[in-house]
Amino acid sequence: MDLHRRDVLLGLLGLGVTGCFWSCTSNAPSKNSSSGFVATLAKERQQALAAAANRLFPGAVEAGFFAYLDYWLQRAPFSTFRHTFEMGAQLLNRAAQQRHQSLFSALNSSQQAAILLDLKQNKLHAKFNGANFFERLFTLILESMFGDPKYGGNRNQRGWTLANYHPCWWAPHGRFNLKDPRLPY
Amino acid sequence: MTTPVDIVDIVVVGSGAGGAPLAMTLAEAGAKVLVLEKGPYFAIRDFTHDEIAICRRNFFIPYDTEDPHTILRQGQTQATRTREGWTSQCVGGATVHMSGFFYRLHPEDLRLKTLLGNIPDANLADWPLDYAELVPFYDLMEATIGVSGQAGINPFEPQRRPFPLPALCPHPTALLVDKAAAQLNLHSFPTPRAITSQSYGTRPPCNYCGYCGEYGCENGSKSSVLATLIPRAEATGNCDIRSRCMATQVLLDPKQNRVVGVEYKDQNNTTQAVYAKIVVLAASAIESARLLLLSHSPRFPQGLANASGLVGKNLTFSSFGKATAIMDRQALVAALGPDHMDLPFLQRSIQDYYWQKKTNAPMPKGGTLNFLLHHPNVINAAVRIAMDHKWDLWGEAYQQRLQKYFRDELWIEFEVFGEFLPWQNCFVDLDPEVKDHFGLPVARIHVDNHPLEVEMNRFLVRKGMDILKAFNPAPLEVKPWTWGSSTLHLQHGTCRFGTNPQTSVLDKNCQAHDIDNLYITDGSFMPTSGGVPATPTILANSFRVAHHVIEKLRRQDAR
Repeated sequence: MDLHRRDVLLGLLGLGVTGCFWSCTSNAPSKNSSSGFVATLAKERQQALAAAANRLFPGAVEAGFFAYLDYWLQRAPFSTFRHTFEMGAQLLNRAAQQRHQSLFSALNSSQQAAILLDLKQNKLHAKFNGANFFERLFTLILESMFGDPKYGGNRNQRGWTLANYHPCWWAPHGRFNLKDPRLPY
Repeated sequence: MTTPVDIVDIVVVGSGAGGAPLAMTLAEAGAKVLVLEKGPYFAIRDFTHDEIAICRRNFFIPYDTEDPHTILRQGQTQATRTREGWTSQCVGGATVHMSGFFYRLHPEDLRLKTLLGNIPDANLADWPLDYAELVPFYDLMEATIGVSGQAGINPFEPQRRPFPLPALCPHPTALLVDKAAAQLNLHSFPTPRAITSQSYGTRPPCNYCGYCGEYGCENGSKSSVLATLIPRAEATGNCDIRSRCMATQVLLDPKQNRVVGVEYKDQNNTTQAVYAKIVVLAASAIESARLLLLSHSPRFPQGLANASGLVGKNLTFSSFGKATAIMDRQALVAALGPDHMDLPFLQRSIQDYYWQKKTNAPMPKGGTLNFLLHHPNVINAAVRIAMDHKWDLWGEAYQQRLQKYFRDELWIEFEVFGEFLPWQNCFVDLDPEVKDHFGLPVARIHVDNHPLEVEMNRFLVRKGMDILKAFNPAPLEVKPWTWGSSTLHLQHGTCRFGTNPQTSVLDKNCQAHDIDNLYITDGSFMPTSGGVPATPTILANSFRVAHHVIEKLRRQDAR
């Protein structure tokens, strides 16, 4: 039992440390920060990425998608995708410029959707694997929304609230009675 | 300057289902045992429910950028890097993150060549072992690690001892499976699990959190070898588990056909060697074959213990299929009541199609249908729904679909574990180009399914879908997820055992035909895959081989 309690305490301590770590590193990206990938992007590319993320999953950016993206793009093997993300954002803006003489973030919802669909179907650039980028972006958004908030996403557990999901390490006692005679076997 | 020389009785490469039972049994018998494990040594507190870290990163399985396999699927000419083909890298191996479906093989599984005859292109073989010789070790294994289940209900399994633990408490929808099966004249039974349904030894009963598959158990209730055998082995004082040490070569005696030890890289990337009377490989069917192929020498130019040329050949996985029934939660609550809907295990299996003489099936040997609830992983569910819609559903519409999944639906699925026919198109060899970070060629996996097996798997998935469709209340939708594919983490066959040194690599006791004191106890020894996950069989066989090795050491000492 002692060991049990110690594990719990250590676990809490670990959470405390990580929480602290996050409060230092996962602030909204600022222009002066050299660590965050998103902060290194030109403003219009940041906006394009934000618009695409929110078009795919409304509320993703507010829930911390950029902090999540920064966290992983700093780490191998994800760091090799930095260029892909920069290119992707650039291509979204270029397509918006060509079609509507505007930035991607300034387009309306259906215009954005049309460009994203073309991206997904590899139609934006012959040498850019748009489908791959699209799936990676979408998957990272879903990870940020529904993963552990310690990575910067899922702020205030917004994703988990949406999913009606309650994270717990132990099934709460009393939720079911194993000796209930109505249960089969 | 000389470094102290490591000399032990037994060195075991790999600490999972194949290595741990042998290491423990020998350590308890008084032999000095050293276990080399490539991965880290996790403590229970390392196991969390962090889906990103545990399931979607490199917690158990390395990235293909750091430690790849390469894979060549049917029709491809260029092998690509992959994360497939690893079971797990940590002390305890894949038993740490298994779901723990612990079915025994059936007697037919050991005599497929005799029973099925010549199937074109398939390379079947009978086991050189009688089922009765395996049964005591199944009993021993179940009692040692703690397996829960209910004996006597499955009419297709031979009579057996009671399980050491009663079956886990099932989700109320188990009744749907039971009723639908009965209606179709099939026989559902409680799935045996390597999970403690009650306290077992020092381990607590399962807390029903549902995070078994893909996760380590933070409760110590999953009967992984990490929670069961390894602590016992270490408690003897005779067993040293050396984690983050990767065996790179088996060392051959310069004069005789014996091995003298293993060379390995320790956690500082320094080359070390350990010398032993007996060397046991249990690094997974793919990696043990790779190690033998890497250990070639002028006397064994095509790889150690490979006079037959069969090391790496006859690679089998488990033939896999899966389908889903989307159920309406409201209808389930109306039919079954509101209670217990949070229980995680459906706990029902069907083996009516395991061996069938008189049906229209493509072949008599089928497999097991395992019914389960959709895994509680949230990201996985969200990604799967996106993939189900081919990534074409976005924005509010996608969010509404997700909310519907989480709030209104319950997904009941079944998995098929079927016979994977060994044939020439599925094998493992050394990749001529890609090397790991030690500069050693990585394993190149050639994967292809025998057409008959694909057909059989499709048959089984269709039969399973009939059961899903017979549910009352009726499912909203029944759809197949995959069929005719393979689960690459269940792997066997690369060093098959047999009586003839020309057609097998190992003898009946899993000792190499060519080398007196070299044993292989992971899934490599199995000439056929069986219609169930092989983990319990690998564990039981490792206990069996351990008893043989003890006898052998006693005989040597007596001399």
